[in-house]
Amino acid sequence: MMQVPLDTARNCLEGTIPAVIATCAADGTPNATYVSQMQYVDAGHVALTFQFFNKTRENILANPQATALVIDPVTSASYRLSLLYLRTETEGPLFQAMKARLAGIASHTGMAGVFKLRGADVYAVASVEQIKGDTRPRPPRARNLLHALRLAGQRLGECADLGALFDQTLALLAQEFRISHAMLLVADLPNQRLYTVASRGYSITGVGSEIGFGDGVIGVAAQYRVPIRINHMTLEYRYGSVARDGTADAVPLESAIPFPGLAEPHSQLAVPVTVGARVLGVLCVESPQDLAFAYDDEDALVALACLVGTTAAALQQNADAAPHETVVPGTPVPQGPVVEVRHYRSAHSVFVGSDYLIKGVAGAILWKLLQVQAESGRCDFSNRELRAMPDLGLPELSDNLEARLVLLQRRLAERCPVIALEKPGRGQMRLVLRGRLRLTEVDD
Amino acid sequence: MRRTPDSIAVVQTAIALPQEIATFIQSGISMTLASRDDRFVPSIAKGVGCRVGPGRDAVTLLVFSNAAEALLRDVANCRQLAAVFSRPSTNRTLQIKGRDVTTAPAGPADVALARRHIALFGEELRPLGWSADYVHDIFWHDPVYLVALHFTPEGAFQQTPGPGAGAALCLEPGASR
Repeated sequence: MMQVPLDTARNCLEGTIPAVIATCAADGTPNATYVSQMQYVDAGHVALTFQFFNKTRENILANPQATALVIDPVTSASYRLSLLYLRTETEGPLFQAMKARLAGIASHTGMAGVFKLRGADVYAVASVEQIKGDTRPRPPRARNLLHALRLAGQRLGECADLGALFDQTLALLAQEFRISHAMLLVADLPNQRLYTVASRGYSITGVGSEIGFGDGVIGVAAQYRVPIRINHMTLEYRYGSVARDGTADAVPLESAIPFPGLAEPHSQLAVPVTVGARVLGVLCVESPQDLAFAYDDEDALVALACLVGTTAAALQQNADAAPHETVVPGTPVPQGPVVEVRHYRSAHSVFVGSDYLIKGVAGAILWKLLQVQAESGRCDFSNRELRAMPDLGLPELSDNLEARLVLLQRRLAERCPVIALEKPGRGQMRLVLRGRLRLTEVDD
Repeated sequence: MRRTPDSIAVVQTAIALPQEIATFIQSGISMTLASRDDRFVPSIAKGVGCRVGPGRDAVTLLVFSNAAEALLRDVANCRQLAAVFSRPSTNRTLQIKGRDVTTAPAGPADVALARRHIALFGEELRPLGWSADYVHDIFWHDPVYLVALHFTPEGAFQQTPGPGAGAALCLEPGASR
């Protein structure tokens, strides 16, 4: 009998080959049941899906001792796990993570609509025994995740501002983690929404597109502050047509920037970017292949998201602390035809000509900058100054002002050739006008 | 010593598995066996072959002893087992409870049955993306370790995922024993 750490058997817990669990009733009758999903919780715990009130359920409540058999889908090694049932969680991060994975497994095995998670049964793992038998070598990984993380630590530390941090994160994912489809969203906590600030590997950038907390893998990851990983295509966690193509009637046209995600992702992993207990945003990666992301990838991306969160918080603090420098008077008045910029007061939606540009806090900021520029000719502003403007109604320091400015800067670069926002220094911004503007305020 | 139900029961009616169930469990599908020790700690092992007797009131399951040490020790002691059978392509699953378990070294016919079972299971799994070699690697061991477990079925339960899971399946009266 060879005892091994639970981590050795973690590849068995991807749901590829169903685990089997043996339990024993109070009268001594043994019972065996296939388990749709066994989830690795930590080095000493696993969780099993509780879906139906069956004999296993009755048995573990009467006699918490259980033994499970799992098989590695690559090496063919089998392991026996000695388990002790502890508790059932019917909500919260573990429950949500298992619910999402079960949706993928259900859809892959033709059980969509049948599998329904009632609870996550948490078991202590007393021992893991490798069952005798020949095994196959595990093929080498395409990349060394630990080394990729080391490089990430170095490169993220070199980023001078939030925009660079977002781009560097996606570049690292592509080059060092070999993940081709990725996006980064920042949380708008008061409104419980997330907006895309950067993406890579999609036909559109989707910068400015929004996802609600609780919606799909990204929204659930943000709401419960837990990594959500699905190994197969599932309709249950797909972003609806509303988010995808912006054609649904329920959403006002101006706010429907198409979401950049793959139309049919077969693997998805969304990891919350946090600082302490606060969610800054979500890092989401996708693949058109099944089983593209394993537990090790999840670990690596959680560590990467920690680096991104800590660095983002430091950069935000830096920008807010920067002094307001004396400004140089305006740049030369631009020439060319007049472009109308309209601001709808209720949602701070800004249109340039007939094209929707941006809304919300970023919309309000742009409108303020344009007004001050029109009145005084000033083009240079600071974060500190924006926070002091009461009519902008910016939230406390905890608000991701810097991230909103990155969003505004990127939407302008994508959609509006006549206005640009530059970052001449830490906590500074400069409005650059390349055409003549007519500002129209609309009360709606 | 703890008294188990089969030590209490004096007379037990023999039952027979319906032909359809007998055919299903011999068709080269996934099978897993469970038993338990004196402290009711469960044991578990994979099965590699199934034979149903002519009256369908006796079942033989094959296991490799080097991969089923605890289970063999437990069945020798409590003489009870549970066996779950599942066809991955359809998710059809059922469990059979057995009593009066006895074990015997496997003969040449049993070795042939185990080979046939693993080959059939490989065929079953091929459309799902698994190679026959892989299936063989998981289940096959040196035939000197092959052991036959004989038992009397005493109940069968539906375990296909869904609302009907857990329901007892109708068995037929068996020949008197």
